[in-house]
Amino acid sequence: MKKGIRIVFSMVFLLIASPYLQAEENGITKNRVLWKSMSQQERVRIIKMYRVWKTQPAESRRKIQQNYKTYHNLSHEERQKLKSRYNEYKRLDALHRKLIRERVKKMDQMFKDRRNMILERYGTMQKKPREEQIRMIKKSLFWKRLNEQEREIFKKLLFPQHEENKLQ
Amino acid sequence: MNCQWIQDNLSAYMDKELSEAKISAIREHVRNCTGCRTEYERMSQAWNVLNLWAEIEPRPDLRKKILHAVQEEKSSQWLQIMLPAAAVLLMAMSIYIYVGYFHARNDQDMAGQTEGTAVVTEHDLQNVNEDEIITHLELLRDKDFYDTLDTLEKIDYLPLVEEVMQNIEEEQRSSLECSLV
Repeated sequence: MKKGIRIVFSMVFLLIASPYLQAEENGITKNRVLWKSMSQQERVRIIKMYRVWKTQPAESRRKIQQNYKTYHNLSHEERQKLKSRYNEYKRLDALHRKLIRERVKKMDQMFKDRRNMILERYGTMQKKPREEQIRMIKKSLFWKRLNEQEREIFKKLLFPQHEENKLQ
Repeated sequence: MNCQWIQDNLSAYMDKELSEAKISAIREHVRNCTGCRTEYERMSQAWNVLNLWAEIEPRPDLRKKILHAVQEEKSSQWLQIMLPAAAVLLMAMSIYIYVGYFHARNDQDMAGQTEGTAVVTEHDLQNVNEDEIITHLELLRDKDFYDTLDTLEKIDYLPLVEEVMQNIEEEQRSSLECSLV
């Protein structure tokens, strides 16, 4: 009787786990093919990246892995938005990048209830049409307090190219 | 055995440091040569004056003082060698640390660049855990992007931060005013 239960549990476990294991195996196989098809120059770049990654503190590595998972759970639109935002962010000089990081850090350091309030308001804002969202941002205290240069930067970060005309 | 040799050896002759044959030769020469005799007499006079001087006993701590002075001289010599050596070592260490730091920075910069301009070396392709790279290949390809992803996501919330902060401040102010009333 006990043996039977054990077999059933094992089968159920394998049934649940096998798609994940298979997916992981497929991912590795895909990566292996990709790795083999890469140019030597690209491989060297990846190796250098790997070396930097390995020397980073465990906490930073965990954060990157977490971000990687988060990204892959996002919708296609969200991914596109973040990619284009990253391209804009990359073009910024070090000082402006630091200023943005500082602003974000300030938000991270807020009390949990305040952070939750922001997330809640963001959720409400997201339900509105995009034009309305842009109008709200333009009217916000945050936007009013930005200087011309910062406004240009946030325009690029918050509104993709095709939305720029809506700001005029 | 000329006059020059005799005069050069007069001092040794007077101190009886020469062989018996040389002593008798010099004695014979001095007796017959006027120049050498004059030189011998001049030297004898000087010798006699020196003998009049009282012998001074050195102070008992003189040896100790001399040895101490020599030791000090030795240690200052050691310092003279060691100080430049230490300075050179310090400089070498600074250069090593600076180069190491520069190299690490350079590596990071290289990793951050999307276009790989590195020279391909066999060494780069060896000594790496290829399996681990393959497992994390997608992540490594866009590492910088994933590194900043949370910041990029939170940019959306920034327009709301100051609004919320102001609301909270206003609420606090009004509640304080109420409590005061």
